[in-house]
Amino acid sequence: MSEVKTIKGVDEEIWADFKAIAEKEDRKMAEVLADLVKYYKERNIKKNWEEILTVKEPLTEYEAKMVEKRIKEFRKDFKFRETKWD
Amino acid sequence: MGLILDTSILIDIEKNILNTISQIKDISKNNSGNASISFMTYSESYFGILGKHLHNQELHLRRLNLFNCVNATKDTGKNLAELKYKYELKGIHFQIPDLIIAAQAKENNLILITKDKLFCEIEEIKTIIIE
Repeated sequence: MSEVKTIKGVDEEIWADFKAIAEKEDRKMAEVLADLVKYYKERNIKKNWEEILTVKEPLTEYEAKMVEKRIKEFRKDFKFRETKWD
Repeated sequence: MGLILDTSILIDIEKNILNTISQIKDISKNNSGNASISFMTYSESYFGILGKHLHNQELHLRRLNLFNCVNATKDTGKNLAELKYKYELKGIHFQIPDLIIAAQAKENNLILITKDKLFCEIEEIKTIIIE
């Protein structure tokens, strides 16, 4: 038998609506809850991508050159120091 | 499969290169999961942002922090060593930061989005090149 979990503070009307939705859809309440979580998860991922890919103030050519220069410098330092074994 | 973006792509986004952004939009529609970056990409991008050369440093830092940063584990170390060993035997030399990104893509089953064609040599990961 699966573990029983508790959600505190659920409004009676909301609970009744939730139950009715599950019945209407011929699904278990746990399944409807899983769908709800999946929906919000996907929505958040979509929102996150949108936020990342919407650039209101792009780097200027000069700024981009400077950023690229600094990243190259950062990478150069990965020529690790030679270990002295003795 | 989720996506992991490398630094070349992050710079294109920051420059608002529309061709790159539109390709990534299309790819992200067909692939579930967050926009991920390796801790290595986070670190080098953060280093690039540091300093007084940016007009709006906070804005660029904010976007960098929107990515899901993939952290290193023991498996990252294992994959990194195995990739370095295998490709050096083949005569292909990668920079350590690139191998870390590839090792994390492999470990987390992520598709690597990059402009660097050399990553295509790594058979263990799926790579999409943005032209």
